[in-house]
Amino acid sequence: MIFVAKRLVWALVVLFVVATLTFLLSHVVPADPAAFLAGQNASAESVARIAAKYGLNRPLGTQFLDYIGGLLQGDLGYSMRTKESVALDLIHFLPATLELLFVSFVTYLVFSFGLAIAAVRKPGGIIDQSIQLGTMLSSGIPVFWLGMALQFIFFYKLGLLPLSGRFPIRETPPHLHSGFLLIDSLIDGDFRDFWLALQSLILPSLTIVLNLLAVGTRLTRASLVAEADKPYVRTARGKGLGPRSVLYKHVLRNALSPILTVTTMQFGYMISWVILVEVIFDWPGIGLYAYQSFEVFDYQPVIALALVSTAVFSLINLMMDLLYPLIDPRVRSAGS
Amino acid sequence: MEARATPARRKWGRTPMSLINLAILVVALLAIFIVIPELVAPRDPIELDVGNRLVGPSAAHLFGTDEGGRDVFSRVVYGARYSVGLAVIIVLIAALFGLMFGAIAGMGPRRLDDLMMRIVDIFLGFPALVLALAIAAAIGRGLGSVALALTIIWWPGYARLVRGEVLSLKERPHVEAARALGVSTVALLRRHILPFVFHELNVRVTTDIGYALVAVTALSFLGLGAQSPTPEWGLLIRDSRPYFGVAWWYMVFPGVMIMLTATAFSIIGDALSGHQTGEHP
Repeated sequence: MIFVAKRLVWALVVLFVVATLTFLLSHVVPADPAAFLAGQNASAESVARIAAKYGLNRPLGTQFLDYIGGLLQGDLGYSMRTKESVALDLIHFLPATLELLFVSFVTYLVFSFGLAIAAVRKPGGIIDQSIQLGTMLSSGIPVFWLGMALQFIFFYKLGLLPLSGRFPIRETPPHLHSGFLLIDSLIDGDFRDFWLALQSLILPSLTIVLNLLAVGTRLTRASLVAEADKPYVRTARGKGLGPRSVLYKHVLRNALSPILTVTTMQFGYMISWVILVEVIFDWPGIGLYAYQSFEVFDYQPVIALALVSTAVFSLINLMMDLLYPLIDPRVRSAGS
Repeated sequence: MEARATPARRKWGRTPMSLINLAILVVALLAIFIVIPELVAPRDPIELDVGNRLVGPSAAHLFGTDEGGRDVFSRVVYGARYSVGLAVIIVLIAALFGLMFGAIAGMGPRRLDDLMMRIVDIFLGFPALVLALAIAAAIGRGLGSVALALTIIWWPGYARLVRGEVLSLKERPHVEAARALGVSTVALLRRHILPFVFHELNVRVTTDIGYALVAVTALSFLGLGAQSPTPEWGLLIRDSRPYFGVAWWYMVFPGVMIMLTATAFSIIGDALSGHQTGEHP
């Protein structure tokens, strides 16, 4: 219990530090914070209005307390571009991002485990070697370039999949229930819509999956290999256990916690780089929203996204920390 | 350590020698591109030649031309300075800072160590790209913002690595012996601990140059870093987007260069780590 409480307090500290940092970035670093928040092409009047509205002429300490108070009430500022509160905008664009992340991450998990297990079953075999070579050669592919290359092949050359977007422009999208098009189309019972939504999802998630696989498979494999080298595995083999039960009952179970670490890392990495994928595929999620705001010098959404994504990431870290003791008894005894 | 010596382990972790030679060749070429691009590039990377817009690869234009008729090969050669050069600088500064931070944490008292590692944890929790966007928003776009953002992202990893190494080296007999002889903490660190830390650090820095390159080009691709007409590789790919259905070469070659470079550094890093485990005390 103390372990859980410690982790919770720590997560709150991280959030506070990040909030302070975003405050510094938006209120202290820019030469004229009001002009910064108003955007580049704002008139003198609107800059003055912003300064008055956000109290930017008051002492920094008061501003900081106001800022934190606003955050606690869910106030993330106001977007000049969409003329809407940033918090509402984020909620509006979030489902698209979540759908993309979820589909990609599940696909990634299935493939990375499958490949790593295939590699470890016959160490140094043809599968293992080609996976090692493949991951080594593909880990340097920039994700934005990979996305464009896939567009070039599957849209321009083969004409199989849509170039970009979340749903064909000429079609009417499904009614919004959950905001997840795959689920919403099924609620409507419209399988054609489901297929259209799925088609648009393939290339962006393939880009993410391939990118994650290049690094993830390598690390997952390394964890399994390190575990398979330990004396107890030799003992298990020596006493006559088949390779299958050694792999699944011993190696995989014990390698799970380093793999979990890698997976958490990968998830954080994905949250950060999903912006690139959304930009390339015109995927209307929070990354594209922040990027388009950034392009027209509307900075509140960018600052807000930095805050929110750090919060999400530390929440995930917290959840993983709470998961470790369930998987690994050694952590349990060390933590209490 | 024993596990490393088993034949199985050695067989699994080896990179073919030919691949390593190839990687060294790539890095040598890049060094030439960075130091004396004017000797390699056949044309000026900035000057327009509107008569030759979007021409495919040929003997005259190895990588074809862009929308301004500029030679893509020349732009790629000059671009190494910005893309690879910046990646190297970022990683070196981050490693230096991480080295100092990690060494102090590792040698210092327990409470200081705890506090410093907490700070590292906070920084490790930042989502890289969004932080870079926010920094670029606050201090303006340009390669400087990119360098600042990525250094902030990169140093904590080194701090953690160095601190871990220092902690384990502190317990080694040769360090304990030196300490018992009355060697000062600074001399201990400098003569008996850091030389061994450098081995690990070298491997990490080499591999990270590739990842930093991918990050630098990604930020430029988003328009945060280099601005036109700088021949930065990520920016080249950004500029190629409107034409990529009609001029594949414009997008393909800068991307291949990023890929080759990153892979080369990662292969060399791998080879160094294999080589150095044998020398580690």
